[in-house]
Amino acid sequence: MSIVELKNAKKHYALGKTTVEAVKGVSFEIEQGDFISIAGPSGSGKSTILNLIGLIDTATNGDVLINGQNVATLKDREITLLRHETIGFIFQSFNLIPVLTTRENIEFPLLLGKNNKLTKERKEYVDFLIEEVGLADRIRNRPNELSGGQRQRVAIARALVTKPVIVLADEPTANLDSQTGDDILKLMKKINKDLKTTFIFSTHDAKIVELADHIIRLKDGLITENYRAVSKTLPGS
Amino acid sequence: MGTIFKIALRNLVQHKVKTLIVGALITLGILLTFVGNSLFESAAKGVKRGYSENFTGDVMIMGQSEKAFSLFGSQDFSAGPGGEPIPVIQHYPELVEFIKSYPGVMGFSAQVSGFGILNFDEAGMGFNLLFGVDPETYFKTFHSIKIVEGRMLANGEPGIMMSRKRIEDIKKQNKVSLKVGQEISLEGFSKSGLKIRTVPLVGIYEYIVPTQALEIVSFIDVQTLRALNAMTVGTAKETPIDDATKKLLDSADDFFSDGPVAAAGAAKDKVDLNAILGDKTKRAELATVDSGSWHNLMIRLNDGVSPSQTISELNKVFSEKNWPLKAVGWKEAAGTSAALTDVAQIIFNIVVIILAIVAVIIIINTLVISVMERTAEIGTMRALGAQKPFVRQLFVWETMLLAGFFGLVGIVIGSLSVVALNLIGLPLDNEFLQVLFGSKNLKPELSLVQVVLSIGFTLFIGVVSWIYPVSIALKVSPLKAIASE
Repeated sequence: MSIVELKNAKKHYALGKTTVEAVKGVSFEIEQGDFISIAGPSGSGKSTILNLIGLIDTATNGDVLINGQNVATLKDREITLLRHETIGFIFQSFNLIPVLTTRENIEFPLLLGKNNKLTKERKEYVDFLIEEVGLADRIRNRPNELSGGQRQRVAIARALVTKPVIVLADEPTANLDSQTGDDILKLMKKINKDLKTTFIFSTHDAKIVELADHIIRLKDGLITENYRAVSKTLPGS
Repeated sequence: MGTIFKIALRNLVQHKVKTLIVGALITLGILLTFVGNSLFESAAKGVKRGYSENFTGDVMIMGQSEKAFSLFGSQDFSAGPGGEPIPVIQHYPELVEFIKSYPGVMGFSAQVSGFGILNFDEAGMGFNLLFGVDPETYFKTFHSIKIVEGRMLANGEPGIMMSRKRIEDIKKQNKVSLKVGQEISLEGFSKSGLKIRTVPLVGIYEYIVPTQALEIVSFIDVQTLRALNAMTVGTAKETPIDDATKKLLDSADDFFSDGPVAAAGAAKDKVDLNAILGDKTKRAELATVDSGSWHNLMIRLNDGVSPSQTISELNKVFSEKNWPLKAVGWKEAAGTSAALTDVAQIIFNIVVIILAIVAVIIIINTLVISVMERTAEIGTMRALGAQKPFVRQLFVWETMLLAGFFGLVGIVIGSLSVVALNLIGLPLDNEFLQVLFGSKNLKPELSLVQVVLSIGFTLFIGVVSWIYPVSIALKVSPLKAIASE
C-alpha cells in the first residue's frame, strides 16, 4: 500500500484579486522506504506539494491520503495528531527552538503527543540519534552556538525522534555549504536504509536528485516526470 | 508542563530588555497601588479613630428626619447659616434608660450642635461650630482633649472652651487675642430669629489625637447653645391639641366665609377666645429653653462589639417602640467631612484603574509583538505536533511569570516602603492633606489585606494581558514555519 497518495490534488491561493494556481492537479503515489525527490524550478509547486503531504496545508480540490486515510475530513486536532505520529519535518532554515538546547530540541516532539513521558527507552533512543547525527559533544548547546550543519543535524534527529514513517525535507541543503550538504545527505540516506524511513525532498539540488530512487519533476504546478531510478550512493558512503 | 515552563521562562530571560521594560511597568503599578492603598487604609483607620474616639462614637442616635443631618448639623448647605433645624431626640429619658442596660455599651453621652458668630469687644470673629455638652459625661466618654490653659468647663456652668488652633486663627485673621476669663458674645440664628448670649472663655485645649477637620469646634455649655438654637419646650415636643382647640382651628375657615355675622356669632357661642389667648402661662412654658432636649446621643462600644450589628438591632427596637429615632455609624454621623477620605480614595482608585489599563495595554502590545516575532517558532511547534492548548499554555505561562514575578517585586518593595514610612512617618504640612489623611504625620501600616489585594491585582493584570496575544498565537498556522523561510 502507498504511504502517500495524491489524487488530482489542486491548490489555489488568493493573491489580492487574482488567484494563483500553485498546484494544478497532480496525482502520484509514494511507497514506504522511498527516498524521493520532488524537483523543479522555483514556483513549480514543489513546496506546496510538500505542505499538502505534511498536513500543514489543505488541498483546494482533490484528495490527499496518508497511510490510506483521506485527510480532507479531519479536524485540526486530528490532523495535528496524525502529523505528530506520522511525519517528521526538516526545514530549510532548521527551525530549532532558540531557547532549548540540542538535546531538548531533539526531545521536544516527544513531549507533544498523547504519551508525553520521557521513558528510559525514549531517552536511550534520543541518545542513539544524538550519536547517529554526531552531536554527542554538543547536547547542551543552544542553536545559536551551533554551525549550520550542526543545526541541520539537530533538525534531522528531531524529525526522527518520534519514529515517523515519513520525513519531509524542504530543501535541506539549501543553507549549507557543499561539504556539509553532502554529509547531511549521506546521513539521511543511511537512516533511510537503516530505519526504512520514507524521505521526501523538495529540492533544486542535483545531488539529491541523483541520490533519489524516485523522482517527480514539476513545472508550473504540473508533473512533467515521475519515475523510479536505480538507487545510488554518494561517493564515500 | 515542565517543558512549557522552561520555554516560557527562557524566552523571558532571552528577551531581557522587553521583559525588563514590561516588568518595570508592572512593578511600578503594583508598588504605587500597594503604597497608595496602604496610605489610604491607614488614613481611613486614622479618620475613623479620630472621629469615633473623639466625637461620633461607634454608634450615634439622632432624631428621624427626611433631611440629611450629621453631628455637625444639616448637610443641606443651601439652607443658609445655621441650616435646617436639627431634629431633637424624642423619648430621651426612656432612651437613656434603655441604652444604660444595653449590652456591649462602654459609655455614652449626648450633645447639641449649633453655630454661633463670635464677637469680642465688638470685633466679629466669624462663624464657629459649637458642641453643647454635659462636660462630665462627655469627656468621660471621649478622652479627646487636654486643657492647655484655664480649666475644664464644669457641669451646669455657662462657658466656652476653644482649641488653641482656633484661638491662633482668630488672632491671625481678626487681630483679636482671646484670653481665658474673657467674656465672648455669641450670636445664634434660628427660625425664631437672632439670639445673643455672652459666656466666659473658661479653657483652651488641644486635641489628643490630631483631628484637623474639627479644630473649629468649640465646646460650650449645653443650655447656652440650646438658647442660641432656640430649642424651646415648644419646639422640642409635639403639643397635644384638645378637642376645643381643634374645633377652633377648624372653624378658623369661617372667618373667610360668606356669612361673617352669623359665622362670627356662631364662633363666639362655641369658644371663648379670651379665655385661650388671655392665658400666657402655656405660651411662656412653651417658650422656655428645653433643658432636656438633645440632638445626638453618641455611644462607644466595647472592643469586639460589632457597630453595624448594634445599629441594626437598635433601629429594629426603635421601630418596634415607635420612637422616631435612628442609629447610624460613625461615618454617617461625621457627614461630609469624613467622606473626603472616601472621595480621595475613589479618585486614587480611578487613577489606579487607568494605570492598570495602560499597563495592560502596554503588556498586551509587547506580547503581541512577541507573538508576531515568533510566528515561525509557533508554526514550527504546531508543525511538529503541538496542539493549540500547548501554545495557549506557553503564552499564559510567559504572561503569568512576567506579571507574577514583577508584581511580587512590587509587593516586596511596597511592603518595605510602607514599613519604612511607618518607622519614619510622613509629615503632612498641607492642611488639605492633613484633613484628607486625618493626621499631621502619616504612618501607614502593612496590612495583609493589601498584600492579598495586590496579589489579586497582579493576577488580574496577568490574566487580562494574555487573552488577546494568545488568541493571535492560536491563529498561527504551521505553514508559518515554512513561510518564514
